[in-house]
Amino acid sequence: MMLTQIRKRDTASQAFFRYRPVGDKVVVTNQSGSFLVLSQPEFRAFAEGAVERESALWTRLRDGDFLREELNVARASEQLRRRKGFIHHGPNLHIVVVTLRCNETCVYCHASRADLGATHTDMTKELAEKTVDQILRTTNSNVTIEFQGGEPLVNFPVVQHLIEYALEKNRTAQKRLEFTMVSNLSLMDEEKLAYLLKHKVQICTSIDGPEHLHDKQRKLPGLSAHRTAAHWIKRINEAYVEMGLDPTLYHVEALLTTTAEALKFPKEIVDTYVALGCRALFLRPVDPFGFAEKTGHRVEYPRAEYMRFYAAAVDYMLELNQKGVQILERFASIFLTKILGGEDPNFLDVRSPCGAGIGQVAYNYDGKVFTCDEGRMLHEMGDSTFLIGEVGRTSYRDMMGHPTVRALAIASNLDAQPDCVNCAYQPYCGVCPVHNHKTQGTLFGRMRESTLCAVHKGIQDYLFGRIADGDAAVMETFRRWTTVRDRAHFLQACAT
Amino acid sequence: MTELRFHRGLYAGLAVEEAVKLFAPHATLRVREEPDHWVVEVEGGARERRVAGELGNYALGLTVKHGNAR
Repeated sequence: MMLTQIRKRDTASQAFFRYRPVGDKVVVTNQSGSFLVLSQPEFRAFAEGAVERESALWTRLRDGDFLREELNVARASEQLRRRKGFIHHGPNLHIVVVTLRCNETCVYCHASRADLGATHTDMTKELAEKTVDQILRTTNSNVTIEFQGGEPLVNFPVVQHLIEYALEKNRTAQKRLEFTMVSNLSLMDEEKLAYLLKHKVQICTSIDGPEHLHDKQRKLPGLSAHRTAAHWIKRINEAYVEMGLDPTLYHVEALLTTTAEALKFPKEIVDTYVALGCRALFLRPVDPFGFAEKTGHRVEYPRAEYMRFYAAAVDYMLELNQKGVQILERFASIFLTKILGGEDPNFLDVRSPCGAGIGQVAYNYDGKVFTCDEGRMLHEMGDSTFLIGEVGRTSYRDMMGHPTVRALAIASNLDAQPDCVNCAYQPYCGVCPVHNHKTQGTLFGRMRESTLCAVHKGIQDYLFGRIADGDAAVMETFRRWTTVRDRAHFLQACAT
Repeated sequence: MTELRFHRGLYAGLAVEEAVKLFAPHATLRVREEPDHWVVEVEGGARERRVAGELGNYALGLTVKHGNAR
């Protein structure tokens, strides 16, 4: 339907709304994040102010706060407050790069890994302590310390030291503290695993799909990177069961980096994750950071091709769910939690404003502090725009009030972002100013040309298309994907 | 002393200059240039943090209004 087909008979009856055609339907959303999927005649009646009072459509519009006279301001305010609950908390995710050294070579490495001999890229124990001191100054009562690299197991003594120092300091700080490690698992052994299990460190790894694909993209000298990771995923999952933990909740999380080669294997990738016992698959497109910039001609692809891959993979996952296999797609889960659940899961890359500085902070091996992991990745590529301080020298207040943090918060606020401000998906979406800066040379970005926007919009088009179909089994699966279950085991006990 | 570091890739030089002029009566402000940053040192006793915060917001607002950095 063209907008010009709408006769402007009455524009006073509608409350504020945004709209977007999806298939032969029209999705309308409002500021508080309510949505309706309307048929074209319904949308025309709504847009023209010709909906008969007390009709079924009128009732739906009223209940969704789409009618000006019937607008329940208190309810809409409460919905908005719930969605933005993260705003005043301060950073909860603290990424610590304990080394840049890595024993695997990935074609797209976003972290700009260093060779195993580059010991000067190891964090020292002294700096690890100062980093913990800085982290525990956050105003957020929830703190997740995420070990990254390089490969964090290369500098395991510092990981151990940091954990023990943080636990000791947290006796006073009293944060709800969690540890996460992102590892390729190839340097794991029973001793390290026992330590990580004892200290309740959640373990996350990368699986790029079936063995032939994974090993083509992630080179582990002398061994199959896939077989090594698969062995340890199985071993860790077994260990959780031995500890009496619910395997549906406690298992190794794995991430996919979608390359051009991966686009050929949507079903095989899903099958690989299911076979490994994973319950979630995150179909992340490749980012323009690190080595991916140089290998872009091999790993990149038009985002329309990614969307075809995404739809094929998620269609297949929905089929599997209907057969009793529980596997969810992480992007879908994030968006559906906002769309159907009315909550924000606080995924820092897809929220408004984004998490840079105010939701996450990245600490490099040399003590330099960045607004986010992406800002740290750019630094390794020679662009230090997102450097906000140095551990031991810059105060927490100065980091949080840094002009760069302010600029990122303003640039990622979708209420002020050109294009996003008129987009029907505005209540559920988020932009990455660092991505904009890298790909378009401006923090604010141009969404019409943004690959990130194409992905976010494409995924929401897909999800709303499935919602519009109204298939009961699909909706039941979607609702299950929005259920967030606490993994309380990973929470460190606070001494009193 | 509070130090504000305005990255040249994110902030317009004219915006920083204008903000410094506006807030000069409220604190002692020293400006220096580094290869990647305009650095503003703010010294203002009890009001120092507030002046630094407002100056930062003002410079950001002007940068957005001008539509570009540099």
